[in-house]
Amino acid sequence: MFRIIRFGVMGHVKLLGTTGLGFIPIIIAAYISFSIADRPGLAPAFIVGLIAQQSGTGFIGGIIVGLLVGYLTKWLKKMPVPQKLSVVKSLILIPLISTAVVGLLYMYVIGIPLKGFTAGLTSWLKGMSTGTNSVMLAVIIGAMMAFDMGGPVNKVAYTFGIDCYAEGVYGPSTAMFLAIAIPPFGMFLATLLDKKLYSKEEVENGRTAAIMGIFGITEGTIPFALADPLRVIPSIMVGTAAACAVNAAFGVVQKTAMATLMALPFASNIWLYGLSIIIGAVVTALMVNFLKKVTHHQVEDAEE
Amino acid sequence: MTKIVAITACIAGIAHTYMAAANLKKYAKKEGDEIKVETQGAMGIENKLSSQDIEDADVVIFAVDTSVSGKERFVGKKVLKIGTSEVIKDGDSAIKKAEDLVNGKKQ
Repeated sequence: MFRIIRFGVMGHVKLLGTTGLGFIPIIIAAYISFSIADRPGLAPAFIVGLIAQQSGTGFIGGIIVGLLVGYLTKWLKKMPVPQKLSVVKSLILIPLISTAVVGLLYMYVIGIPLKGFTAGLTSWLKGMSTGTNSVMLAVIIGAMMAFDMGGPVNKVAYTFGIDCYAEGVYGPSTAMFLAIAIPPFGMFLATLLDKKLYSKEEVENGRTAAIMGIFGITEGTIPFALADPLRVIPSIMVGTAAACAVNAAFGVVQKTAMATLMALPFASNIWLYGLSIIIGAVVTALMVNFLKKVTHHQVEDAEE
Repeated sequence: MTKIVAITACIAGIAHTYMAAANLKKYAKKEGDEIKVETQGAMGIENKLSSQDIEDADVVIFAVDTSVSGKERFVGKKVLKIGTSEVIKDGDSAIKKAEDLVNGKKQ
């Protein structure tokens, strides 16, 4: 059982992983601020972002810190100072004021309700990650992950899953990581089942997509979706949601941050987890091929 | 009259960036050239060159000791690349070199 070991090699591997994840709120804060205020926004946001991370307000804390530091710094940059003092302004005044103002504001004002909010959200999710609710949640996560294959909607679900993972709520994170490779596996299976429905390039692309899927990349499905969005996107959404729902109903969780197939050895029940992946791929493949057949979809380079 | 756009940037982004910018402006004015300078210093990008500025320019001066952000904006332009300290020591020859580049003279 890998997941309960806290010492030895696996414990150290886990330490590496949690250290990396722990950086996320800090990096989010720093680079949101950087994008708003340019270089002067970096240092203060790194400092206050670290405070936010340590106080346990996670991603939401990082985002809020980044926005506050960014806009305050941007405004401070406009502060008129004599030419001779402009160096003092960029080296001392701006970092000092930004860090002090947002840092103290965070510690005494924003941090407290935010901490309550994050704690509330976590306990609500923890509540939702058992019983029927967990299946519902998994369905939503699965459908969102598949909807735009790595785009903004996918990233909302992804961030949510990572957030849950960082909070130790493994139900939603399992669903999210499981969802990643279902669309490519599904489309690969679809091209295997009925080659006539796909162009040569698409059959070839199905293999590439499956390989990318193994390594946790959903984007290999995009060419299929671009060629035929109305049939492909609903199919991968339904298939991925099915995989997540079945897995949640089985109550299988995995406590790593690895995608679909790579996480298989770490699942609490390897067989049921594997079965969920297969169900997801099969549902996707059957649905997309069915839709293509019923609506007499013809591939452009098919010979009549 | 030559239309010049320039970018200045140094490692720390505190002194050289702005001194080089000031010197370029001073000597360009002396030569009767038109110049716009973008500084990429500790304050981030200031006086950002518009795409129109770059379009209209005859020559681009990169007075930088580090990398230029947004280098792709200058694709296809004649670029003179020198260090900031060169510009600060001898702004006159920096401007002259840029003019030579426009006129196609060998440096």
